[in-house]
Order: sequence, then structure tokens, then C-alpha cells
Amino acid sequence: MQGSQNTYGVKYQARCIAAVVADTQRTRFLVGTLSLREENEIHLLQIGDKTGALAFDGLYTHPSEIWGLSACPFDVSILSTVYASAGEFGAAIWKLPERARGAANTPLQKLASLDGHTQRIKCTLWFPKGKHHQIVSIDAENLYVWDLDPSGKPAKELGRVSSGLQQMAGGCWSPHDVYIVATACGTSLKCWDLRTMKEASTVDQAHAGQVRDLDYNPKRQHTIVTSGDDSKVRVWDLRMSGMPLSELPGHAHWTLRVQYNRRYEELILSAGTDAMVNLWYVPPPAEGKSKSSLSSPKISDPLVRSHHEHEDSIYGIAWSARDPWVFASLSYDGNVYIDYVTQAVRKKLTTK
Amino acid sequence: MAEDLDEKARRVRELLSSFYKSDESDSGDFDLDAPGDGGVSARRRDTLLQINTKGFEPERYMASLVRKTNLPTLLKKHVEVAAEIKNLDSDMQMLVYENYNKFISATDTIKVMKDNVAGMESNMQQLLEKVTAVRTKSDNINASLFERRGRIEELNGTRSLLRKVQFVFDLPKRLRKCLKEGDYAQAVKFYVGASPVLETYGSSSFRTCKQESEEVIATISKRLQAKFLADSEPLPGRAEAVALLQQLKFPVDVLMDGFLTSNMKHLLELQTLSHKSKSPDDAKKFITEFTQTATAFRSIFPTGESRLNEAAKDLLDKYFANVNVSLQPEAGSLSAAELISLLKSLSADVAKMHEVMPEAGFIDGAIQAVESAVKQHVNHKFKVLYAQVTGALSDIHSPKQEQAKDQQKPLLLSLENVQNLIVNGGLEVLKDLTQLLDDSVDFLVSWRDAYIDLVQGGFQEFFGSLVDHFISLSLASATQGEGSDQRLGSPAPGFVLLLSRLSTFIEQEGVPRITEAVGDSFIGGSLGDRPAFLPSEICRAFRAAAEKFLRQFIDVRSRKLSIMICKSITTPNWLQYKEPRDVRMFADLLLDEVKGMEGEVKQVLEPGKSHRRSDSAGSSSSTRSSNTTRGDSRSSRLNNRGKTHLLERDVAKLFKQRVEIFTRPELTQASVISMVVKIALKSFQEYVRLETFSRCGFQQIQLDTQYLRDPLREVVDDDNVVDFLLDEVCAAAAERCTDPTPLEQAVLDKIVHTKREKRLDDEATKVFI
Repeated sequence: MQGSQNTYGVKYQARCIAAVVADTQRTRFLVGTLSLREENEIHLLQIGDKTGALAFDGLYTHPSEIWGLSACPFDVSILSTVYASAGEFGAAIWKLPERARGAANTPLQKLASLDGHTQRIKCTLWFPKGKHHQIVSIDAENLYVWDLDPSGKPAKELGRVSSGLQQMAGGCWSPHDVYIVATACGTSLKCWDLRTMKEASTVDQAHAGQVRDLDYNPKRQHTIVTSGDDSKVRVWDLRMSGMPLSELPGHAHWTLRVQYNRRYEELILSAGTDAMVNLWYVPPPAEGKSKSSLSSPKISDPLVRSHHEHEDSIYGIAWSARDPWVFASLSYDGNVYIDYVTQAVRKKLTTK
Repeated sequence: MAEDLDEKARRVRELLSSFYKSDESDSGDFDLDAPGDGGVSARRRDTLLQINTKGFEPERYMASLVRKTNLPTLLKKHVEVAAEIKNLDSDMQMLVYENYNKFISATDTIKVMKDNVAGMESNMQQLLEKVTAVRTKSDNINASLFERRGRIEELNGTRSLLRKVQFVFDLPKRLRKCLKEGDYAQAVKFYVGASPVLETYGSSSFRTCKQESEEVIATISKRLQAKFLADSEPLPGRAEAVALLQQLKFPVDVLMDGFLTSNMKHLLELQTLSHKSKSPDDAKKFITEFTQTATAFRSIFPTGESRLNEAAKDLLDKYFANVNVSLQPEAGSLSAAELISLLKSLSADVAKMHEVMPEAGFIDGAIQAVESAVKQHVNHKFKVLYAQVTGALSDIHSPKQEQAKDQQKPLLLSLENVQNLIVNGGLEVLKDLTQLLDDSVDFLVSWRDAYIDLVQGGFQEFFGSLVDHFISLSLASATQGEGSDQRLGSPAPGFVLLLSRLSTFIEQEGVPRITEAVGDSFIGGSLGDRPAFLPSEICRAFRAAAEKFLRQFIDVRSRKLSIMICKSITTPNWLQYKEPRDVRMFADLLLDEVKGMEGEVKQVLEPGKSHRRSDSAGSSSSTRSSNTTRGDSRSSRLNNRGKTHLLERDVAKLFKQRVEIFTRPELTQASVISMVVKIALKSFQEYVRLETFSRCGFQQIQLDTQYLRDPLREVVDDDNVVDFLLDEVCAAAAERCTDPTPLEQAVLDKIVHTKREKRLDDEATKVFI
């Protein structure tokens, strides 16, 4: 099934890939390019149902370099990007236009822009549950909450939080509690309460270097996985912030991305600047067990598989929204690889 | 002849049978007599053969005979029959004669009997009469004597009772007499004899008597006690006294206790004294005293063996407690030689005591005591060793040492120190313990295996706890390193590296040497399933620890470098960067940092492989030229994307090589330093990729990397890697640059050269360690 067509190359360098989460019928990914001097593009890719091959499905032009990309959770044609080029920066909400036949490059339709950031924006986060017009954008120091007007008016700022001196690098909106947004704040992990606009909980020294990415466990409210410049991947329980629930060796250099599988909380995907994509199997912590996982030797190696296909640093990974066994990874040189969870792991997860 | 006899016998039998069983023998006889003549039908058909049967009919027989046979046969038959008849007649005659004889003898017998019996009747009659007379007389006597007999018996009973009463009444007097004469044995005998009566009637009739005798007995018992307690009294006398007291139901146990307590107390005092003075005379005295006491007790209380044993055990416990105290010094360690001498004296003592009292289990107790003492000794040895090692480590770790850093190569010194400590200390402990084994103290022989296990286990535990200690130290130092925000020259990374080196040393040298030494003298053992000392397991643990420490060192060091690089990249505004005039400050700092690390690494680690320098890239100029061409190709690639697709592949190939750079680090200077540098340069590249540069910004990065190139090539094991990574940094900057025009080579060289000169001057004035 992993035929020759599980790879796709965009022409330029690229940092961002996102699964089209609103589309549950097809496995589709959006890839945004990073080209300083050429016109940037957003590629829409799709995995064929029958062939299983990764195929090009649409190409849209984007005015500047794409540093962040996330798909709207309720509308297949809406996405948000974070962009910057040569001193300019910003974040905007776009609509994929109806494709005119024969037209190679179609420009995106801008729905709204999130203005007001004073620093380069790191990422945007969509409201995690259902159709809701709130969106969060994060720059190095501030976190903004926006209300999007569907009728096309400019986005309204609802509030902002400042993280102080620590540089924010990324965030994740809690799927369990819609008022909580977790952010990677320097070497710590901080959760913000959007009602009070204050810090709700924190894990200091989550990593020895900058925390690069984090993701909420889809099944457990207080469990977050983080990755950072110290190359480690750590799983935290926010209620017990002193010690990680488990620690994975991560990568040989920075671990830039980490993501939970949406359906199976045991699967964690990570990618780093060592050009590797690692799939981890972390069994959920047994209730009442003492948390001495750091010192006690692991019974089995949590690493399920290392994927070596890429040749450059990997800045983007995404699980398929439709098929929990499919994931895509994007390296800096613009190559997208599709890979699959191995049969052995599938069996282990489904027979439980 | 024989046939004749047979024939005759047969006939006689036939006759007899026909006589006795006349009725039923009919068919049976016939069958027997005529077996061969025609089977079943013979009887009916052939009457000729029925001559010997009862139902024989002479007429018919005759007729049939005449009818059937011819004359000669008939004649022959006649002769036969006549002969038979004659035979029969003689037989008959013989029978009659025999029976007649018998009859006559029977008649004679009867006649004799009759004569004998005739006189008996009168005798019997007489006997009967006499017996009857005797009986009547006896009855008469019985009747006449009956009344008196009861009376006599009664009188007899009364008499004996009176005698007893008399005895009882006399008892006090007798007792007193005995007392006067000192014949206690007699007195006791009397009293014991009378005591049942006194017990029964003491409350009523014999009250005074009882009281009196009791008084006397009390006196006697007192005297006996006094006699028993008097040490001057000869042993048999004392023993007798005790026996008498026992008869008097005096609680002998109390006496025993008293005796034992006083004696044991005395013994204990002696013993404590002997231990305090540690002089052999005192110990001897103790032993002789003990022997004496035991003998005395035994003769005095022959029944109290178990009590003696108990008391002896008690004493023994205290004794061994004392022994243990003397075996376990409060301060300072006891050498094996001292221990051996102690154990030897103990062994002698106990052997003597054991002779006296085999049941008291002295040997067991002694063995236990020795076991615990030796165990303690072994544990103590290891504890001391462990404390020494950890102490040495914490000395290095302590901030005091950190300040005194200007001394030459502190890490090297401490490394050697600790290494020596571990190996020599370990060997010394082993030597010490071997002595104990060689100097075969009696007790050790029985559990030699256990001892060997103990020593092996001691090593196992020692190394195990050492690994744990290392790990905890590394963790502590790691947090400290983070907490102090990665100060320059923080001792933590160097210390971690030291730990790593130390772990490797233990794995590769320490453990094998110890194992060898253990194998020399501590063979055997293993009471359990597997030997207590598992060098392979320890080696594995240390290897893992060494790897972990090394990784930690690399992490900390490379993080420090990365942070410097990060600051240098993120701080400036690259889009409005001014034309580069000089290499930036951070490059020097970076080199200083690398140098500092090199200093640490060189102290602790071995040089390892020599630098791999490819011949083509041997001179810096050639590298530079190749670099220039590469930079050119890059710019052309940036201008014309389509053409450079192949080149992109090349770059990708190179990347493949680079990916392999993230390998397992070896514990050599070059490998560790390269690893750190590689990670730092990779971070450099990643930080550059996050920025956008103007032309001048790009040129600055170019300048910085060019400046770093040569010094870094010096320190890594494969300078191609440095070239490659620095090229990658430049390429990344070029990619992220709006106008990637590289600096002219001449300008580049000039600036770098000036800067390098300046740095050399600085170094000449400043002393780098």
C-alpha cells in the first residue's frame, strides 16, 4: 500500500503542513511554502482512496512566506496562516476559492487579518470544539484572542495576555476545557485561562532549552506532551508538574514538533532537526502507580519506528484527520512523506 | 510268582470288599474286574464274567458256558474253576485262622481287665468315706474360729497404727537428737517418713507434734542451706545437703538460681575485666573460673543440667555481646590481622568452654558471633571504601575546589586520585579479607562459601551503590547547572565528564582487576543460584552510566554554545544590518568556550584517534577556495532554480552524510569535542534559518563562519564535518537572504586574518588554562 506515490515535493522550501481537519471523508493536507524571493504557494494534497497515493489536488498562491498554517476545524475551505517576509509579518484567515478549471495558480481569498501584533507571530489556534468564531494568535510575548465576524468585517480583538520575558514558541488550545490555552513559554509550559486572562498552571523547566511544541492528550484533560531544544519529548500531568509522567529520548538535535494521535492516545509522533520522524508508543499511566518512570528502566522501548526518509530538518508533521493510521511529514527542502502506523502497533491498539 | 501274589492280593481284597460292601459294590466291582471285556454291554450280555458278582446265577452260567464253548475249552475252564475254588478255600481258611487268633487275644485281654477292676470298688469306697470326714472337720474348725479372727486382725491394725503414732510422737525428740548429732540425713529420712501422717492429721491430733518437728526441720534446713552455701565445705557435702533439701521439698530452683546468679555475676565481671584489659591472663582466669563453676554446679545439682545450660547460654550471650563490642571498634577500622587474633582467642576460649559444657551450644553461639563479626567487618570495609570514594568525589564537586581552580589541571588530579582510590582501595580491602580467609580460623571453615559470597556480594553492592551515587551526583550537578543559568566555567559539566570517564575506567579496568583478584582467592562460594559478584552486570551498569554522563556533558556543553549562538543570531536586526567590519564578539566567546571545554576534556579523557584530515583539504587556502566555489554555485542556484536541481540532490547527499554525524559519541577527546561542536553548529544553522537577512547580514554570517572555521577544525576529529556544517550555515543564511551577495574573498581573508592576529595577541597576554 505504501507504493511509490507516498511522497510529494513542493517546489520551494517549506515549514508548514496541516491536516484538513474539517474534511472527514478524505485525507487531505495543506502545505505552505517558504520562499523569500518567489511567490509562495499553498498546496492541497490528497491521498487517493483506492490508490493510497499522495496526489496534488490544488494550488493556491499566498502573498508572503508562510511560517504557520492551520486549517479551520469546521470548514474545509478555510485556513489561517502566519506569514512574514522581509520585515513584514501578520496572520490572516483565508478561503480557498472555487477552482477555475485550467487555472494553475489561484490566489487565496482573504477573509480577515489579525492585526495588532508587534512581534512576529508564531502560530494561530482555532477554537477546538465545533463551529465557533474564536481564534487565538501567539507571538513571542503576547497571546491574542480574536472574534471572527463571518460577514467579512475585520477581526475583533477580545483580549490579550502577555507572557513577560519568556519567549513563546507555540501553543495548543485545550480540547477538554475551551477556556484554557497552553503555550510553550521559554523553557516552561504555561496554561492561560481565557476568562481571567491569567496564568492557570505552569510547568517550570519543562525542558532544558526552549520548548518548541506541545499537544494536549486527546483523552486526558491534564496530560500534555512537550518537545524542546534539549531534544527530549516529555509527557506531563499538569497537576503534578514536578516530574514528567514519562520522558522519551526524542531526537539527536532539537525536537521541533510533537503530536498526539487524535484517536489513540498511546501514539505520539515527533520530528526534529535531525531529519527523523519518530513514532512513539507510550502506554497510558496506570492509575495509582508511583511516578518513578524516570529512574526505573522502561520495560519496552517506547520508540516504535524511526522514519529516515527525509534529508533535511523537519518542521512539520500532521496526522490524517480521517485515517488514524496515516501521518505526513514535511522537511525543509519541501518534501512531503506519507507514512503509516505499522500493522503490529495497529493490532496492539485495536485488540485492547 | 509276582503275578501269583498279585492275584492273591486282588482276590483277598475282592473278598473283603464283597463282604463289607455287599450291596453297593455290585457295579463298581464289576467294572474294576472286567475292564477289557466289552465295555458297557458286557454285564448284560456276558454272564460268564459275572462269576464274581452277587447276582451270579450258577445255572445260567453253566448253561451259557456249555452252550458257548467247546469241550477242550470247557475242560480247561473246569480246571481253572477248580483251581480257583481251591485257592478260595485256602484263602478262606487263612482268613478264619487269622481272625480267630485275634479273637482269642481279645478274650484274654478282657479276662485280665475283669480281674483288675474287681478290687477297685472297695478302695474307692474307702476314699470317699475319708474325704467326707475331712470335710466335716474342716467345716467345724472354720465355724469355731470365725469370730476370733476378725478381732485379731483388728488388733493387729491397731497395733501398727499405735506404732506409727508412737513414731510420730517421738519424731521431734528423734529429730532433735539427730540435729544434735549432725545426722541430718537420718533426720530428713524420719521426717519424710512421718510427713504423710503429719500431713493428714497435722491439723488435729498431732498439732503440737507437727509444730515441734517442723521447727526442728526448719533448723535443719537452715543448717543445710548454710552448709550448701559455704564454699569451704567439700563438694560432696554440699551436694548431699542439696539432695536433703530437695527431699524436704525445699525449692532447690531458688538455690540454683542464687548459686548461678552469684557465680555468673562473678564470671561476667571477670570477663568484662578481661575484655577491658585484653590480657590473656584475665581471659584464662575467666575460663578456669567458668570451668570450676560448671563442675561445682554439676556435682551439687546433678539434676539441674538444663538450668546450667540456660544460665550458661545467658552468660554466653553476654559474653558474645562483649566479644562483639570488642570486635566492632567504635572508631577506626580494625585490620584483618587484629580481627584474626581476636577470633583465635575466642576460638580457644570457646573450645575450652565447649569441653566443659557440650550441650550449651557454645560452638553455635561462637559461630554466630564470628559470622556477625566478620559480616560487620566486611561491611565496614566496604563502607569505608565507599565513603572514601564518595568523599573524594564530593571534594571535587564542592564549590571550594571550584574556587581553587587556578591549580593546574584539577580534574586530572582528582580523576587519578579517585581511580587509585577505587582500584587500590578495592584491592586492599580484598587483601585484608583474603587474610581472614587464608588464616583459616576454625569457625570460618564451616561457612567458607558463605564468607566468599559475602565478600563478593560486598563488591557487588559497593559497585552498585557507586553507580547510584554517580547518577545522583550527575543529576544534582545537572540541576545546579541549570539553576545557575549556565555560568561560564561552571564545574558541573567537567564533573559530569569526570564521572563518565570514571565509570568507563571502572568498567574497563577497575572491575576486571577486582574480578581477577576475587577470582584468585575467593573461588567457589555461590550458595545461591548464581555468584554474588557479577562483573558483567556491573560493567553493563557502568557502561550505561558512562554513556549517560557523556551525553549529559555533551548536552550541557552544546547547550551553552547554542545559547551563545542563539543570542548572537536573534539579537541583531538583520534586515538593517550595517556592512560588516569585523568578526563579531560572540565568535571569540564561542572559541573561548570551546577552548575551556577542550581543557576539561583533555584533562579527563584520552586523546583517542588522531585527527582525520583529508589531504585535499589539508591547507586552509584550498578549503577556502573550495568554499568560494561552493558559495558561487549557491548564488547561481538561487538565481536559477531549475538548473540547480541536480545540485540540490548533491546537497541532499551531503546531508545524508551529515545525518550520520549524530552518532554515538566515544569517550575520547576528539569525539566528545566534535560532538559538541557539531551540535552547536547544527543549532547555528537552525537559528539562521529562522531569520531573514539583508546582504550585509548575510556577509556578517559569512565572516563569522569563516573566522570560526580554522580554530574549530583544529579541535574536531573530522574537519570535513566542520567545513560542511559551516558551509551549511552560510547556505542557510544565503537562502534566507534577500540579496545573497557574498563578501569578496580578499576582504574576508583580511578581516579574518586581522582578527586572528588580535586574538593571538590577546592570548599571549591572557593565560588560558
